[in-house]
Amino acid sequence: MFLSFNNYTFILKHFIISFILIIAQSYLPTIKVSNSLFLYSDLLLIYLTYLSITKRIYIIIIIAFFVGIFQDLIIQNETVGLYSLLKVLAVYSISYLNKVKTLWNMTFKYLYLLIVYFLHYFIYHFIFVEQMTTILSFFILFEAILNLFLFIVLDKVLSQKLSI
Amino acid sequence: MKPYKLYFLNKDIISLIITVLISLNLFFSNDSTYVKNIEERIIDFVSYIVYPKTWYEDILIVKTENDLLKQRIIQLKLLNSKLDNYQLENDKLKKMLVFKESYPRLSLKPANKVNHNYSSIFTIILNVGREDGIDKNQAVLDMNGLVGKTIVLGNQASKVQLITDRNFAVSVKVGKEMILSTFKPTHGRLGYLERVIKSIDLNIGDIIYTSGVSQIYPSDLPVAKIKSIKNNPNKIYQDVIVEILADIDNLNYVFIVQ
Repeated sequence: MFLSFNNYTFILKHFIISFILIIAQSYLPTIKVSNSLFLYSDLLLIYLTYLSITKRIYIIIIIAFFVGIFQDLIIQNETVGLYSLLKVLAVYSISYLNKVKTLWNMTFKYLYLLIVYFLHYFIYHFIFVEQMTTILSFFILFEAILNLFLFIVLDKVLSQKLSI
Repeated sequence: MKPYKLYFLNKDIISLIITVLISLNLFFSNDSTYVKNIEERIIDFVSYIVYPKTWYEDILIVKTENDLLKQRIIQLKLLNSKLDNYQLENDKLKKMLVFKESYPRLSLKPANKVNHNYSSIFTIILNVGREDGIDKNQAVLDMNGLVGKTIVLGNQASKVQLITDRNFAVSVKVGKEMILSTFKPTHGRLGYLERVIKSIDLNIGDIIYTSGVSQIYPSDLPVAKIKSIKNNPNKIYQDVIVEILADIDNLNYVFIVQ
């Protein structure tokens, strides 16, 4: 009832934006590291990071869940539920920044975001590889740094919500 | 506090738990190799985590089994010693059977010693009595030789005067000439022969048999063997010391000559 009447427009709007981002992501350029590894920006994760910092978290969790399932169905239908799980966990972890907004400095907040991104990608790749190597760990770290960089840029350019 | 209010207080956590559970359910319901690999890794991890608990439980089980096996060993040892005893008894009974068959002319009644009485005279109590057809003054022997004679009878038991009793005497035949003599006990398993004249040729180790002169003891029952012979020039007779053949100290099964 609460979701249906009070946040219907809000949820629908962000669903549509998320789906557009998922589709847009497939057209973005990627950096080929090896035959099987491609470094790419996860626009949806960046967008969910923005939402989890600025909006009410339980709604963002539900959005992240459904968008994650949609992403699973588009990208990797053999592991449906994986992206939704990772996105939900990432969103909830990032929302912790709201609680420590005035306690932590920017560096620490970015470091925390980097750790969350790293864990998000680490678990994702861990599912698909036989053995986790040092090179792959570095690749995941670079992937997390790239997305954090994009988030920082967007945050600075658009709203500076994180820094407020 | 009503449940729906609780929901709104913890809506972040509840929405997280619900979405995580649904995601996990969806993920593990897939049949792809990736999911199977993850399941295997999770199983390995869980088994690694619970290994100490399993190890501890195994130790407890081993300890319990060890206690049970110890008890079982003790039971088997007791059973084994019982079976050993049965085997010994069986061997003894077989020998007794052979012994009985070696005296076809005698009617031998097997009996079991139930008590040993040293109070007044050297006696033992047997588990056969008047009801078994036993009479007074019947010879008693074991597989080695003469043991004694029945002196008191009950309905189901009888008292036997042992050959080691000082008041005991039995007529025996000595040497190749079968000269009559009398055996009398002295102490322990030793005894002596009376009135054995010097002309009789005796050897150490010769077996002395009953003469059959008395009505109590049939002839040719082994009594003793010669242990030493002394010829004193001042005496008419030889000093013949004999050793009782019957295993008086370890009597168990005996025969009564009927």
